[in-house]
Order: sequence, then structure tokens, then C-alpha cells
Amino acid sequence: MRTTRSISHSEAIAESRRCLGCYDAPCRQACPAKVNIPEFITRIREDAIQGAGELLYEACPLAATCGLACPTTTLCEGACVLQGIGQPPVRIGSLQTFAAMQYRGNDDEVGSGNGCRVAVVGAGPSSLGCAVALRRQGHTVDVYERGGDLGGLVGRVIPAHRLPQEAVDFDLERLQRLGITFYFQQNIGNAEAESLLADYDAVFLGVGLSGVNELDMPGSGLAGVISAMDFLAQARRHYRGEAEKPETGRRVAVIGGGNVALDAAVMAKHLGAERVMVLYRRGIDEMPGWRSEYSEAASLGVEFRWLSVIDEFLQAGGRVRGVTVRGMRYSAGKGDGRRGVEADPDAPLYELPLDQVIPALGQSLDEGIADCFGIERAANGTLMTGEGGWRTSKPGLFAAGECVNGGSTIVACLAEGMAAGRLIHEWLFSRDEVR
Amino acid sequence: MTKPDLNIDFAGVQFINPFIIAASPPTDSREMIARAFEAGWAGVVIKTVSPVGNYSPLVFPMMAGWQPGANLTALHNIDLLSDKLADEWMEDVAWLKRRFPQQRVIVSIVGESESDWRQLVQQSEQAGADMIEASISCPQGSMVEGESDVDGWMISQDARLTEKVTRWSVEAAQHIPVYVKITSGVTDIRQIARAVERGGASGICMIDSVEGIMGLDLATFSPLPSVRGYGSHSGMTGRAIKPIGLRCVADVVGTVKIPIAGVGGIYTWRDALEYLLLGASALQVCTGVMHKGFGLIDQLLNGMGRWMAENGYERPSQLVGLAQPRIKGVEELSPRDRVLSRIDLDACIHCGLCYVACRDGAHMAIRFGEERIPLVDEERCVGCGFCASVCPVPACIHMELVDA
Ligand SMILES: Cc1cc2nc3c(=O)[nH]c(=O)nc-3n(C[C@H](O)[C@H](O)[C@H](O)COP(=O)(O)OP(=O)(O)OC[C@H]3O[C@@H](n4cnc5c(N)ncnc54)[C@H](O)[C@@H]3O)c2cc1C
Ligand SMILES: Cc1cc2nc3c(=O)[nH]c(=O)nc-3n(C[C@H](O)[C@H](O)[C@H](O)COP(=O)(O)O)c2cc1C
Ligand code: SF4
Repeated sequence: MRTTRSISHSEAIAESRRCLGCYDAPCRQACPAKVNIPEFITRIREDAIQGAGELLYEACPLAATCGLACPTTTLCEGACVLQGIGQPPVRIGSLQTFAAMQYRGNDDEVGSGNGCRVAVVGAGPSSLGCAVALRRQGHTVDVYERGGDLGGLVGRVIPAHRLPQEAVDFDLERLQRLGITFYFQQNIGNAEAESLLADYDAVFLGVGLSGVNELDMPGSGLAGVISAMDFLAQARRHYRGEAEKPETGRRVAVIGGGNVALDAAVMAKHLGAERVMVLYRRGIDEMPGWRSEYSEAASLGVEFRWLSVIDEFLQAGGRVRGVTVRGMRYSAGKGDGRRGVEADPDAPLYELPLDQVIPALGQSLDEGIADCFGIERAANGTLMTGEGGWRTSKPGLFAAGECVNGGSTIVACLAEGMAAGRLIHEWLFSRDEVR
Repeated sequence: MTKPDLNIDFAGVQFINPFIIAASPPTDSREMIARAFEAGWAGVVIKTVSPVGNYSPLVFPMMAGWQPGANLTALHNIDLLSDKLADEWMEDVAWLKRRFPQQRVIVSIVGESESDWRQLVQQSEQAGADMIEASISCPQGSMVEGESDVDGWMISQDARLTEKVTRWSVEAAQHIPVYVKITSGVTDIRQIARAVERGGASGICMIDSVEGIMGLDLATFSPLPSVRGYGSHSGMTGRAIKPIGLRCVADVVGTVKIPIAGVGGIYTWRDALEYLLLGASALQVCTGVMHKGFGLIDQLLNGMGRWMAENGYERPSQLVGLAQPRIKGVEELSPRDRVLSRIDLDACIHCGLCYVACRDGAHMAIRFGEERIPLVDEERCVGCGFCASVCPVPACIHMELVDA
């Protein structure tokens, strides 16, 4: 399946010639996984594509995926110095997936086993990064995942038109050949947490943010109201041939201003909605969604209503038939650097007829997990890690990814997981020294 | 500003401008030559002909590009002579002269014996050729029957033979000038140029393609272009050989009195001006035309005309050799000047290429910290100019003369 980042062989060679090969390259600095971008591009150009793949997978075990899904305009490509002479940046993401998916190299070199056993909770990018880093040091790694597949949110909700399954599968199949043991349908709760801590030398939590923030108001349970995460998950399963097409209204409102809202809005368009309106309580400049995603949504005809919130749900026979919309205005902030918003008394309330409402209000940490493991949470609700990063308040228990950073990107979570894996290795090593 | 007149005289023959297409595939067909003339080229040198055709069949592929693409660094070929015999060509020479009386048709010839050389000159003259180019510089080799104890494998690598062949050709011509095309692949090109002059030629053309091996096909270890897994020495032409051509022209100018046609790597009007300024009085273009088409002439004429007008020159002949006094031995250049690298930080895109180049290839004089701003340490910078040679931004780095 082609995406806007697909690139042909000849395009890739031509594109690779544009790279200047900067010293201490800014693109590489901007990459959370510190992929050696100029070097892999040189290898594409000089007809050493397998060498390019080797370099990519060493730094980024989800290389094919990240090349398609990373917000490159804010990461590597955003740092490309060619823009300084009025040229578009090198299409790094496209080149990365191009090279990655041709990689036929053998699985990562696995160090000799040294007897340590580590349990990894969750099989999302952070956990996979951690597991790979530990395997490379020769540790035994068991992954416990609540769901039935690898990749966490990656293969579950990200729209297939941006991230086709082939790329995800390519990466995940490689990961399955590394000698990591995966246990599926394993929800780690109280009892399991205790035995993991007892049975393993170290435990890593890469559980992401599996709590979905709900619209806390009357009517949010009406038929026709579905969370963006559920909507996107069903859409993804539908594209994989595993589920019906999700019910999609003719007139749809998506609530929120993040990437999930933008993805849901675009997905609703793809699935046949006539009008899709995004209601966001702040203005365009404060929208957390990426500019590139916003532009794509706008170009598909998604409409945006800034400084707008739902005041009330309107219903007919248990189904949503519309909402009333209240206008907002900026107010003094709470001192966190961000302006506040408040209801604008001058803006008239108005009715918006709708047949589907998709809230996309963000994800949060599954409350139980901190308690299960008896560890502390930070003020923003995520797991707290202390000095050196990735260490929780309990010795031998580590965490990384969205459950710690509160929401970011695949590549950042992967890189953090790898860093945590390296830290765990050091910790195991020093612990054994002390003994 | 009056529009300059781009007419030139080369060895007594008038050309409407200095640009002639060198002996090569574009001049191997009457139809292509007609299109070249229509596009505005002043003359063509018909692809080298011989009485018997090629001594061995042409092989394919016969060309390969070094760093191919719009910026092709060099072309390598294992082409031989025109596949058409001299006899067949003569009809076309007559036809072209009738159709294009304003433009010049030069026949490039090569023979294996004295009688070959004489016969080719006579034949060409009868057909109406304006000039003869004796091509004794093909890297695929050309020799003379019965000659032994010769240097190299091209006639123009041996001074004695060069003079001999030149004389045969010159003697055979009744009214038209004969000039000789020579190779750069010799120890001292001035020796060969003098031999040409002694032989009585009206001019010299240089350089022919430069013999080389472009590279190997790593699947077979065959040189490129590869013909079923084998290759040969090939002739390098195009951009990469311009510096060699310029140097050869510069060396020969003061050595002989006969005029020079400069050839090798001309793609732009700047290249053309450089050849003139170093002493060429006519110019030939091959790879540039093959690569960019006959339309290349527009850019050449426009650029040269404009530059001449802006700088107050009326005819190309005024430019010939003006750069000669500027060429000195390195030991004669002023050693006292203090030169420093100046980096325009507004233009800089912070790639760091100058930093690496100076750090590992020059004098460790550029500092490049976290903020990625290249700062020249004036204590260390010797002004070698390497940083400016690698900077990807036009005019970002220049060398400045400072008071010592
Ligand atoms: C709609 C959407 C679109 C996105 N698009 C992009 C994009 O284009 N590019 C990009 O870089 N990022 C994107 N992201 C973000 C990206 O998906 C996340 O940053 C990343 O997946 C987080 O990785 P993680 O390992 O921290 O957590 P997750 O991916 O959330 O993985 C956590 C895993 O842990 C499992 N788990 C949780 N609790 C337990 C438990 N108690 N026991 C066992 N298993 C458990 C979960 O089932 C899950 O598999 C998107 C996110 C969303 C929601
Ligand atoms: C494919 C090809 C064939 C050539 N054939 C001849 C030839 O038959 N006779 C000759 O004197 N020079 C021949 N040349 C050399 C050119 O006339 C010219 O001297 C050389 O290409 C350098 O000029 P350039 O850099 O503008 O191409 C040939 C060059 C090429 C590329
Ligand atoms: S001129 Fe030479 S020494 Fe000076 S900064 Fe440039 S490279 Fe370094």
C-alpha cells in the first residue's frame, strides 16, 4: 500500500544525492533514536542498501514503521539545513522506510546469556525497545502483553493510510526472531505484579496510557458517541479485514485538538462522512496536533471550529442528534505559561445538528498499574521515574514510554525503552558486582 | 553597449562565431549536422573518417557516464571512427556546403599509410570541405604502416611521426588549410606542437579525449563500459577534462605561432571564455552538445556576447591569450600576502562541512560549537582556501587579503 511517503528506487537514489552529509548532523541530533542519517543515506546512494538497513535497525528496531509514522517535519526533516538555501529537506522518512524494508540481514547479534531474567510489561514501542536492548546483552526477556499482538498502539489505532500494515509487520516479524518470549492475553494486575517482582531480576513497565479520557457530561453515553480510540481501533481492524467498517455518521463532530482528533477526523472522511467538524477549545496556534496532520485534514475538507466546546448534547430516542456549541475566549493563565480559556459571554450559543460525536480528549495512565506495583505517580498522573531516568521508586522496577512521558511518539518511546534497557543491564551488572 | 561581433578567423577561415562541434557522434550524420547548423553552430568537424572504415567492428555499449545525470562529471567512450567510409561522406560534404554556405565543414581524417592521408585530403577538398583536421590522437590508437620504433600508440605521442603525417596531409591540400588534433597524453605537449608546426600545419586542435579507465563493474571486474564482461581503456571527455585542456592550450600558446582550436569540457560560456583567454582562437564542443543538445549554442553565444559587451570587447580575437601574463611558476607568486577565510554567517546553513574539512584536511582553524556557527580562528587560518572548496552555499566563504 502506498502512502505519501512512498518512494521509488530512482527517486530514492536521486533524493540520497541531495544529502550534504553534515558534520554532527542536525537531523541526527533531532532524532530521538539518534539514527545516523547521513551515513544510512550515503549507503543508499553508494548502492549498499543492506548496510543502510543494518545501521537503521541497530538504532531503531522499528525502522520501517518510524520512517512512515514519525512527525519528520518536527524531527529530522525539520532540522535539515538545506532549508537554509530555500530547498525542501531531504525526504529522510521516505528514505528510511525504503531502505528498511529491503533489509534482509540476520537478526541482531545476541550477546552470550548471563543468566539474568527480565520481565517486560506491555508490548508497545517502549517495551520492544527495552526488550531488544536487553537481548543484545544476552539477558532472558519475557514480555507480558494484555492484548493479542505486538506493537501497542502502533498496529492498533494509527490510521492505515499513514502507516500500512506491511511496514509494521516487517518490523514486528524481525523482532520476533530475536529470542524474546512473548506472552499474550496477560493482563498484569495485583497478583501478577507480585509474582513478576519475585520471579525476575528486574521488571520494566511500558504500559503506555491505556485510560481514555471521557467527556464528563450528560449525554456522553448516547448512541452515536464513540471515543476516537475505539473508532480508530475499529477502523484499523476493518482495514486488516478483521472487523466491520465502523459506523460513521453523515455529520460528524470530533472533539479535541491533538493528533488523535485529527486522525479520527480524517478517518471519518475516509469512511464516508459528508461533513466533519473538529471542535477545539483553544485556537489554531495552541493546537497540540502536528501542523502536517492539520494541513492534511484541512485539505480533505475537515472543518475546524476554534475556541468551541460542547455545551449540551441533543438527543432523540437515545441517539445523539446534535450539540449546542459554546464559544470560548482567552483568559489569564494559571501561571503554567499557557493562556487560559473561559466561556465567552458575548458568543451566542448555537445548535449543531450531528449524527455522530467522536471525543478525542487524550489518554491517561491506567490508574491501577501504579498501585499494583506499589510505586509513586507524578503530579500529572504518569509514573514517576527518578534520578538517571527510567527508575521507579521501587528498586529493580523500571518504566519508560508514554506511561512516563505522558504522550509522545513511537520513536521517542522506542528510544526511551532502549535507554531503559541499557540502564537495566548496567543495574543488573552493578548489583551482581556488589553481591 | 554595442553588440559584439562574434566572428572569428581560424587559420585563415572565417567562422560566424567561435563554436564548432568536435568530431563525434553529433557530426556522424548529415541530418544531425544540418540541425546543428540550423541551431547556430558555426562549423562542424565531421566524425573522423578513413578510406577503409574501422579496423575492427564497433562494440556496444560504447559509452558510460561517470557520476551520471544532469551534472555528469565525465563521459567515457570506446567509440572508433565513423562507420561510414570516406567515399560515402564526400556526397554529404557537398550537400552540406550547398545547404549551408555560411557555415564551415571540416573533415576529420585518419589513415594507415601515406597514400591514405594524401587521398583523404584530396577527396575532402574536392567535395568542398573548408578545412582538414588530421586526427592523430584517438586513444584507441592509430599508427602508420611500416613504422617501428615509435613512442606510444597514438601518432601524436611520437614527435617524428607527428611531423611526418602532418607534412603528408599539408602537401596534399591545394587550397584549404590543414590542422592537426593532438592528445594531452604526452610528457611534454610542446614537443608535439612544434612537430605539428614543423610539418607545416595551419593550426593545432587540442585536446582529444583523455585515456583512462572509468571504473570497474564489480560483478565481473570488467572496466566500464563493459562489453560482455570485458572492457578497455576508454576516452574520458566532458567537464572533468577541462582543466587538462586549458593547461595544454596555455602551454602550447607561447611555443608555436600557429593558432589553436581549444576543446575539452566546454559546457558553458565561462568555459569558452577561459579557453579564449588562455590562447585558443576557435572552440570545439563535443560532450556538452551530446549531453545538452544543439540548443547549447544559445547559452554559449548569449553568455559570451553579454560578457564581452559588459567588459568592452568587440571581437573574440581581442580576448585570445589575455590571461597568458597571469600564468607564472608557483615560485614566482607573492608569498608575503596574508589571506584569511571569511565566512558569511548570514548565508551559512550550519552544515559543518567546512569545519570537518579544515579540521582534518587543513589547519584546524575553524571552531564549531554546539550552536553550529563556524568561526575562523585567525591565528590558525593560513588562508589555504579548502573550506571555500567544500562549502555547499554559493558565495558563503571567500578568501580575503588582509594587511600583513
Ligand atoms: C491515534 C493515534 C495516532 C498516533 N499516531 C502516531 C504517529 O503517527 N507517529 C508516532 O510516532 N506516534 C503516534 N502515536 C503515538 C504512539 O502510538 C505512542 O507514542 C506509542 O505507541 C507509545 O508507546 P508505549 O510503548 O509507551 O505505549 P503503547 O503503545 O500504548 O503500548 C503499551 C502496551 O502495553 C499494554 N498494556 C497496558 N497495560 C497493561 C497491563 N496491565 N498488562 C499488560 N499489558 C498492558 C497495552 O495493551 C499496549 O500494548 C499515535 C497515537 C495515537 C493514539
Ligand atoms: C563518443 C565520442 C566519439 C568521439 N569520436 C572522435 C573521433 O572520431 N575523432 C576525434 O578526433 N575525436 C573524437 N572524439 C573526441 C572529441 O572530438 C573531443 O576531442 C573530446 O570529446 C573532448 O571534448 P569535450 O570535452 O567537449 O567532449 C569523440 C568523443 C566522444 C565522446
Ligand atoms: S582557509 Fe584553510 S586554514 Fe583557513 S579556515 Fe579555510 S580551510 Fe582552514
